[in-house]
Amino acid sequence: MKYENVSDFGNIFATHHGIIAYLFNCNNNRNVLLYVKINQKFYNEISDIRAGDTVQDDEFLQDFVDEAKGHIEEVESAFLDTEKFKDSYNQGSYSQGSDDQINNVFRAVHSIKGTAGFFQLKNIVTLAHAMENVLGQIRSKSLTMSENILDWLLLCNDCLKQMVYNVTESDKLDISPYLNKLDDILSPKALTETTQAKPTGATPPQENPPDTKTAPAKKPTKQKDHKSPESKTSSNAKPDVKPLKLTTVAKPQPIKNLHVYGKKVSLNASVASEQINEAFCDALTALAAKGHTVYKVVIPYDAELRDHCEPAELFGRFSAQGEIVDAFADISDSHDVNDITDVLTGYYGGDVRLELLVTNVLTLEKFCDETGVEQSWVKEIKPEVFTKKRHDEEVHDEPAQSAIKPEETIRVSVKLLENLMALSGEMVLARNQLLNAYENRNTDASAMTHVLQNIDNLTSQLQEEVMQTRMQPLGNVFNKFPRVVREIAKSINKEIALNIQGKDIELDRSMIEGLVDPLTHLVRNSADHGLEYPDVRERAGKSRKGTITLRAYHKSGLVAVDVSDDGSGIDIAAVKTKAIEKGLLPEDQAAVMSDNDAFKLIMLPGFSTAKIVSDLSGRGVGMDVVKNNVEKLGGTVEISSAPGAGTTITLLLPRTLAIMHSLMVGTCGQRFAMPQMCIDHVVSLKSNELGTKLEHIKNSKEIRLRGKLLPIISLAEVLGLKPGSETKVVVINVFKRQFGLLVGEVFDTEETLVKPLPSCLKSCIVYSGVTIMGDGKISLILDPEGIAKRSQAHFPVTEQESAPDRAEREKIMLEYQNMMMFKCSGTETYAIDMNMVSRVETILASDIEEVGGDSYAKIRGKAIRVIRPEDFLPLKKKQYEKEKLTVIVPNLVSHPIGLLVERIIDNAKEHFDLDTEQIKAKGIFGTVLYQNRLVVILNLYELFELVEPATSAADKDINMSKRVLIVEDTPFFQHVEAKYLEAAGCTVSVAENGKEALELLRRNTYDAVVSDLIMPIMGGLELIQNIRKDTRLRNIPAVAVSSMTASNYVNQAIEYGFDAFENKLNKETLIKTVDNVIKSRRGVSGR
Amino acid sequence: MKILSFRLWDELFGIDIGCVKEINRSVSYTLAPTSPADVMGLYNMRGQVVTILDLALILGYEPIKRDASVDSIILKQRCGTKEIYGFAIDTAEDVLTIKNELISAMPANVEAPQSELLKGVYQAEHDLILLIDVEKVFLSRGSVS
Repeated sequence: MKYENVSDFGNIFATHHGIIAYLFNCNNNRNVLLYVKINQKFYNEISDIRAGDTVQDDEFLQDFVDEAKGHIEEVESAFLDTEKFKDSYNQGSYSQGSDDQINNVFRAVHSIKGTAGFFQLKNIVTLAHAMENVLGQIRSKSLTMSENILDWLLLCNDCLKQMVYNVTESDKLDISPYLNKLDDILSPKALTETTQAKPTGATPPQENPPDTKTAPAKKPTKQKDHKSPESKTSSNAKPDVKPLKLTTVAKPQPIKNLHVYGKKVSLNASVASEQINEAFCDALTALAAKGHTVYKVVIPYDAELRDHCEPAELFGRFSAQGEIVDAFADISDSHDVNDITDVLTGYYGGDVRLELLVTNVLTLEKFCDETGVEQSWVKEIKPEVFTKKRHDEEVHDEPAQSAIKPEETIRVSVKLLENLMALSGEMVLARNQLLNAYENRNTDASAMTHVLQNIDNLTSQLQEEVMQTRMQPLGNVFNKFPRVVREIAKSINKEIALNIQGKDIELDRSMIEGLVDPLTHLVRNSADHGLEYPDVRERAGKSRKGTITLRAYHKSGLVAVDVSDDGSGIDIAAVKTKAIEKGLLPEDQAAVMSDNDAFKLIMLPGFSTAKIVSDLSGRGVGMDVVKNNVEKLGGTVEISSAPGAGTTITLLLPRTLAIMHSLMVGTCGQRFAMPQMCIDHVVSLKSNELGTKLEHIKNSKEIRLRGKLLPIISLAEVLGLKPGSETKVVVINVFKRQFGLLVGEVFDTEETLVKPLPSCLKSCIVYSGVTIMGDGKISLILDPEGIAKRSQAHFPVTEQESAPDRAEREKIMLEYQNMMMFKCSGTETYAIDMNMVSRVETILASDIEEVGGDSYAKIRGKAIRVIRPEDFLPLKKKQYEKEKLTVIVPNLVSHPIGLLVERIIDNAKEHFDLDTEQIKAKGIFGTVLYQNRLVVILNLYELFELVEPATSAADKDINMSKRVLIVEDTPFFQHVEAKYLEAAGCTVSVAENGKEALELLRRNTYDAVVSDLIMPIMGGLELIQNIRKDTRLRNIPAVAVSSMTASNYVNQAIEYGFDAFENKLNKETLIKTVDNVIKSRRGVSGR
Repeated sequence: MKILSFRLWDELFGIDIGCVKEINRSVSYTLAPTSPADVMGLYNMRGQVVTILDLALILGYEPIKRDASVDSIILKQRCGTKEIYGFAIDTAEDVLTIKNELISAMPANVEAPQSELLKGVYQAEHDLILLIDVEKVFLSRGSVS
């Protein structure tokens, strides 16, 4: 049948006397009616078709509900914004912003009304209509927005919401109180004003005027191809062309029923006439009375335009910019039209004019711009009945931006999404397997590198994309807060402004849902306890209105959400007092506790009771709950506060829940994954060194970690396995506990795809999930909390990490090692400290010459000996085939030897935990873990000694056999300095900070002190002052060291009493200096 | 009715083929220390986590040999559950069509747990096949499953 495609464009909604009405479903289900006047012959045919239309009520009803929900939220948020502008409104100097808001509300309410009408939802239509009337008055300035009106409008909106959420019952609700109230609001006002807007001037139209057309087409696809590239909007505003089979009536109905769309518009209007006829005027008058300005857009519809734009698309474009009141096309005079689809597909060559009546337009210019209509096609309609009372500015002042349309969304079934997620997870797995295979390959398969890279990239991308489908903007949560804040502000009599930033930052759906409660809590806290009362604020010299800011942003791969207020800040003293009272904090600790730690007290369970909150200016309502909730989402909470200036609570959240970074640990031959979130650091145990030695107190194990006892739980014991030799301690922070988990091995970190734990393992409590590893095997994910719980029988809950401890750790993090990583011919990754790198050169293989068995390279005109580190180290090696080679020229050595390496991989500035156990060889300091890789740190001095025993013999001249105390907080440098000095024959002891050093110095005798300057607890300067003050120690030779070659500290160090200053990485000078200092001091003291 | 027959400790068992998803040989599984005794471990079946149960133990026999890998009958998901279980077995034998009239009730002298977890005994030509009632096996594991 030849009309079957008609429905692709829209539904024939009703027909009447030679006019057919099409219902178009444009952007987001906004519906537009297009009336087409046709000739009788065609009319008859159409009428026949309509009789067969099917009705699919329910499905579309659901669409309506979804759409209406969106509108209701829009209304709510706009209302709350409107409040912001209320003041300016009242002063009569309306601002652009406020007009905008009103327009938005108006439009949203209008849309609800319009669509609800189709479904004969009487109550919704009536209420929306009443709201619209009030809004119209406000818009036309004949009614002043007041607190009272706003409240009522909000209530009405709530009522609308209620009805929409339960749409089938909506007509049973009694809405008369709302209607009466709204009537009351309007009653005193005589509606004398009318609208009229201004026509306008014009911005040049876009190159392609869109065009319109009416009527459905037979070949939609063909037309799409013709879209002109310039018309941006046309591609953006691509409407949904799916046929909307609305509840149509089985028989052609009198056109009267079209009134459901909310406009009393007669269909008698003839498109042919320029004059709007009277029936139209009625409708327009009604619109104008409500504050609308109506424009008529006349679009010459000719063959060219027809090629560019489908009618539905065109309507989509228009309805995105305004409300299409009516649309007309007249083809009745075109006698050669046989079929309406001919018109659309261009078979009919004649020109038709399409007339659109558009209202709710923000500005004419914008409208023209966005739709691509020439401004000359647009006319403001001024029926004679209108009086010209409206201000001109109203129209032209309206802002050009505004009306940010929500992006088009696709609804995807959760099931499909989950499948996609599972699939992409599998792909990650496949990639891991491939990577694994590659790592273990014996043969050189360079071709594989490409494939690998590809797969690696693709997989990551695919996964990211898929994850993206689950991402939602944080705006979804933030949007509810204006209302929340407004209500709190009212109930507690404070003046509060809410500032929202970063609405479009995205998070996983599940995270967004999980954030609602914590954020609500925090905002309430801020409003209730953070902000002061207006009078108090005024006295403090702040504005009466407090501000709460919700801000989302990206922070090092995580999403951060700040809830901040400009209130009085947290009263640290009061918090501490309360904590002591509550027995949560020993008094002696309170004194030394840092502010940061004090803030954290408010998150302790038990800290918060309603009482505390009322007499403290701090917070505390359920902060522990907030913390727990956020931690459940894999996030952390940070608090910062400045007295008098306000408080900021930052939630740091991973973007998604499904992928977790884990450290793989092993015990008794089994591997487990430990979530990296809760890992503090890893300690390697050594039987002979304080701090890394396992000690026993009765049955419990402890290590001394920076002066504190750290309880140790053996993973093997908790799991009931037979412990073997276990030498690694993973230091874990969970809630308020810190403990060490003793494991056999520590492997790589992995990105693990978390799968739920089989139910029969839940009773074990030590696991939180399972994951599939690179080799396809399953690993169990350990639950640190459960482990602590399970081992509680023999291990009491430890107290919370003390303040100084924490501060110490934080400070330690300040000293980084800056490493340059590179690869040689083997698979290993090497690194040397950047300070030891003079420069990096690229040379050609042909630049290398062999002289007497050694290789020399010409670099910048000079010959320098080059070596391949792997030739001297017990590492894998093979021949190079590369043309270009990289040479690292080291620094800080007397006879530079270049390192010939394959390529430089990376520079990393990080705090590394040096592991000296894994690989032991001359020329190697040890290994560190960096981005899942084991990196071998080279000891250049030892390496060069291996290369040229003769030259380094110079070092051997100095054989000091002295006892030296190294004071150094960074484990890496501890090792480096100790190695250097030990190489020179010294006996070395290590202290981690000045305080420890003083104790050691008082207990033992040393020949010299080598001290770092910046250390926690007691730094080098303080240490030397103490030393020089001490009668017994005052003459001890002391050398200050730093990792920075040129340092401002040099003078200061000498001033404070150090004998010399040296670079801690320069072996030769360090040894010499120590030697010299000892010698000269001896001279002094000997006298 | 069709059954899959398999051996456990030299006895021949049968399981309704309708419950069986597939048979996987030499499955290498991950141990889950501290788990209930009848949970042997977990196995990755094409991205799905399968919990392998020690059927022998559940039926009151000695636990099956805990080698690094094991043959396993993977069961179909039971209604209402998302998790997949597998039974560790010694060897899978055959798929047989059995006649209902040759199934006899468990003899009275068989004690629990067998008497409760078996549907009956099928008298095959040469052997007796003990028919497992999968639902009851899971019910007997109680809330754990």
